[in-house]
Amino acid sequence: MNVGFADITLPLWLVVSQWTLLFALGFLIIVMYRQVAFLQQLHDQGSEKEGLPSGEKAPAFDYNPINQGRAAPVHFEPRGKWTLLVFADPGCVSCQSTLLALERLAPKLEQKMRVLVLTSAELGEINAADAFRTSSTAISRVHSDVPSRLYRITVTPFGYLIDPAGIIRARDIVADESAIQKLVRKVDRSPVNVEFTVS
Amino acid sequence: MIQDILQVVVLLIRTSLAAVLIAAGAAKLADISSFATTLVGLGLPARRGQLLRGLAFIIPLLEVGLGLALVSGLWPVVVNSAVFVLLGSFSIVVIIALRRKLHVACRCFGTLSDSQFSGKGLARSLLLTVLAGVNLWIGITYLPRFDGSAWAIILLVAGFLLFAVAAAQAAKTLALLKERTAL
Repeated sequence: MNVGFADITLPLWLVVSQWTLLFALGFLIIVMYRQVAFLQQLHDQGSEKEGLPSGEKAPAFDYNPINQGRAAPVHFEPRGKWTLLVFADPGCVSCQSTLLALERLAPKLEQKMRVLVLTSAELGEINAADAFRTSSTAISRVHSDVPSRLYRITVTPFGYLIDPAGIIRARDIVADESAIQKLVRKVDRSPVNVEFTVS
Repeated sequence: MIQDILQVVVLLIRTSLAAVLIAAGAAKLADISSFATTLVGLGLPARRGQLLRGLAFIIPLLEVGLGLALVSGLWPVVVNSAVFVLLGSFSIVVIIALRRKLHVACRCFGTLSDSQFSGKGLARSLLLTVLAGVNLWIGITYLPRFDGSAWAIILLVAGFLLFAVAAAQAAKTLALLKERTAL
């Protein structure tokens, strides 16, 4: 079966296939613009609306350490020492960069604070991500479903700097080394820069 | 008349399926590591890295290959059957993921979509499987003929190949943008 356009005759299968291809390309462009618009919206909003605000008390929770078999849940008490709490997801590329940056900063960080990397992902997903598998003594990788809800996490990697009184001092998206350093720098500037023991 | 209508229906189904398969396959090929993560989330052993990377590469390649074969019209029964089996398998995987309540990113279209396995995704997958089934059935029952010069077919396949490159590039660009916006 043929279709005629002016003085050109084309087979029907070619016309239909070409129009479908054109529609598919148009749809791809729409999808692309939609995703870009969504990302732009997130960028404009910034991280201001994310998570718990600075000055609020950091919630306590229980977690399971990763890479330690079926260890009993450990209780996280925000008070006691400076804490860098990083929410990450094995599926996000930025989180893997964050973990590698944390590894590099570990020698400096461990002198000042404890570092906890939290994920709520399935164990299989965690094991597939190289950055989550490698273990450093300075950085604890832990698993728990609860904290992301308590800390109102909607994007990852997201970090909280918690002071020894258990108060959130800073919070931001920590996608690279400079963002982590910016967050951690608040430890030196804070008046609460001495550790105290929880009674 | 019925033959003509059937011919148009078959063509529309065939080229739509081809476009979906090519877009999905190309987008996955652009971001193999995150598709491998999805496979692990679905229960594949993470320790068998080579098998994992192999599957994460072969499945999207198969999608693109079948998409292009659909457009070319070569070996219609074999290609249509393979497409039906592939899409049917995807539907089964989605059903298993939903039954196990796995919170895994679908990555069905690479970074072109962010969705997790959901009822909506299952409906889409089932619809594609049904379309592939209809395409196979019409192909076997009526054997519609699509005669044309070899050059026309080559040009059409080249057009769809270009579409695959565009989809892969779009997926790559979005992955980079997402990385910069820290998602």
